[in-house]
Amino acid sequence: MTRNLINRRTVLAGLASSAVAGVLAGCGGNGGSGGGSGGEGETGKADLTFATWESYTANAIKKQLPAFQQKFPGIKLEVTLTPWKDYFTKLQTQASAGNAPDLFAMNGVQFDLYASEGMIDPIDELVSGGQLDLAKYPKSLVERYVWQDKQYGVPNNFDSVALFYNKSIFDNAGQQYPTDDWTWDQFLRTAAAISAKLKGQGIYGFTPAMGDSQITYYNSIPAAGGYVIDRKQNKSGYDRPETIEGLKFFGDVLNNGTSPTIQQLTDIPGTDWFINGKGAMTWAASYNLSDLSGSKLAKDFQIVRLPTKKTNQCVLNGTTTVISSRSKNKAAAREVLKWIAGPEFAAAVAEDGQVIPAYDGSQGAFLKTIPNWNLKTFIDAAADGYLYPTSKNTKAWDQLEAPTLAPLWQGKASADTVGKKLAAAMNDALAKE
Amino acid sequence: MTVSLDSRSRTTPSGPEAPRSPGRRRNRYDGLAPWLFVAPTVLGIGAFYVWPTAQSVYFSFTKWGAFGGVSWIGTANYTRLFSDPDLLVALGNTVLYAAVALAGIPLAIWLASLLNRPGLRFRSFFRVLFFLPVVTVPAAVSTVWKLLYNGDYGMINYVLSLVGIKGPYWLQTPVVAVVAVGIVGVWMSLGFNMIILGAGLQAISPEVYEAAELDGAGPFRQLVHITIPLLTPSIFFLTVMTAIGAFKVFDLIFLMIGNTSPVIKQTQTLVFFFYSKGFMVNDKGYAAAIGVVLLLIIALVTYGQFRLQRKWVHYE
Repeated sequence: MTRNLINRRTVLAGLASSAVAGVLAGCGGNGGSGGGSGGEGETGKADLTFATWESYTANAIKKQLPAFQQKFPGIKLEVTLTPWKDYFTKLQTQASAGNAPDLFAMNGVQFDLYASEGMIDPIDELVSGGQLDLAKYPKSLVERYVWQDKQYGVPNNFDSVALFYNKSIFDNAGQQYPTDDWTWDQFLRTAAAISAKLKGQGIYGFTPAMGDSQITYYNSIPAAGGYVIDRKQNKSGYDRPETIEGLKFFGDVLNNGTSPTIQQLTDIPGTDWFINGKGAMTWAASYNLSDLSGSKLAKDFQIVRLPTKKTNQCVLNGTTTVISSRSKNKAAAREVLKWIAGPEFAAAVAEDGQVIPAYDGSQGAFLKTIPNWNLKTFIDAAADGYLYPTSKNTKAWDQLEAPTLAPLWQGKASADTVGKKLAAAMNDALAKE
Repeated sequence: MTVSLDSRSRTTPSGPEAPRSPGRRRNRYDGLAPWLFVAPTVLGIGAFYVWPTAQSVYFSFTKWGAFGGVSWIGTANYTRLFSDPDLLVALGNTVLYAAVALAGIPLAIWLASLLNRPGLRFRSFFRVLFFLPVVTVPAAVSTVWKLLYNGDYGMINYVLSLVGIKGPYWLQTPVVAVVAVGIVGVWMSLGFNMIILGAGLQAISPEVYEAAELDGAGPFRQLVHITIPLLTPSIFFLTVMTAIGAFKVFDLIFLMIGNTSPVIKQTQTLVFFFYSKGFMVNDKGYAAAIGVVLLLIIALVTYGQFRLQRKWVHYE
């Protein structure tokens, strides 16, 4: 080569060797056939894998494993913790390739899909053999993990939603603290009054976390008497007037100055506004507790029930543990499932104070984790909660919600328009299930 | 160590105790050796590039069940894709992002020629400084820029407010968001581009500049009439690479705008569109069709650039 380092030939060679586009690398296509091809293995000796997105479950396993292994010295358990955002994407890819973990955490949203496709195994023999007592768990959540009359798991923990408020902001604004029996009107009036008074300091009366349906409109919809999906799980409720009223609740506060705008709430999520003392009220779930209690202002926070329109129902979701139908060591996996569903394990989770354990009577430790906060609100709210809306392929339509509802949050369309549009799109998706 | 001719001839790789083989057999052996040498590369490219690409093309004609279970549906994915309004939006955003990314190349030329000034002090220090973003994890870059771009508390809007401009919510406003992410892309690739251009600049002989100076050309005329024309091979290489990279942008969009943003539908690029269909909604056959379309678009754009280079690229 002469003086010029780059000549025509090197350019061509360089380009030829740089990959132009790598798309969808094939995932092994041996999935989809349904039905297990795994095996029982032996209880006495097994190397098991367990995947979850819940740090508290992983912590409790770490704490409780030695005791479990005294009983089952031959069982080894390797825990993989994947962030919530990517957990189900990763799990579905693993399951498609036929190498899902032996046991994995599962929620109501995805349960029907995994059960109907034969990706997980029922645990009826544990129930009928008296090794698991279903009466120890909240009934509505036990029923959540039934598919075609077979039980696939028991609730490990659940999440309900409550109203958080910041006492010192209320004192500044000279407003009465919220109570458990507040109506929507009282809530909206107070929030608007606080915003009007303190907006100059960048403080708003209500800072909802609009990026998370579970702590926003999934609660205002049942409160207004509406529903997201009907009981048979095959028809959308978004075009019903009550549901539309639940959507309008958020459309209004985002556009009348009660809350920051949707742009502000996307730049910084509503929960963070509240944590940093820039929001007088927010709605939050038990899974937000660790973030909220980590705030410098945590001592000013208190919890009450969500405000009431027709009801004050919040949305109720939870987690279970299921066994992969392809596991080679199902006998040992069932022992682990039983252990995770048991009272000692629930107590360890309760002490972590991030989630409400489902096992009856284990909530006591949870109530004490954050002194001075009325954590019992979450347990009361769960008692009459509205089950998180799902269908066989929830993801196909719940991905439609955010983009379809966005114009309402932005003030560009009415609740009626987006509700009907979303219902039509959702019914299309449901028809394909 | 000295090696006598003798010993070298004894270790010719012609098999154990083989006599000097007749020509034909040695030829056959010679024919196999090069293939053995390229085998690792060929196998690697075949297994990780050619085969997946072929599979993607095949998958684009199929429908996927939730956990695999592929069924052939012909061109249905393509007919659906070409009537999908999201495709045009994603394509528009991708082209816009690519335009911003390409606009970063003149900037890189200018900075590289500054760094290449004879007698510049702390040259390696500046080089490192400009190269740092290239080796920084995109996730970290995104986090920092998200703070800078924040509508209420971000430094960029604060600086704008000092001169009386009310900045937008950068990452929450369609079109603006894509440009904002594009600027981060330019910032991240600047270092790499400057290294390539710097190498090109080093290769230009100082005599040319001296001759130009004698003829009375100032720094600007030198840049336009000497530096840029002689740099065109490097510039061409960068435009092609930048265009390909821009069409494949995903990480910055995913990290800075995110899939929960209300404006993600209006700001998504082609690869994000592919990801949302393939992994968020698990419509993998449709996603494969998007991937194939993207591949064709990139191939077309690259072909076009190669056709155009005859007009403006000067090889010595």
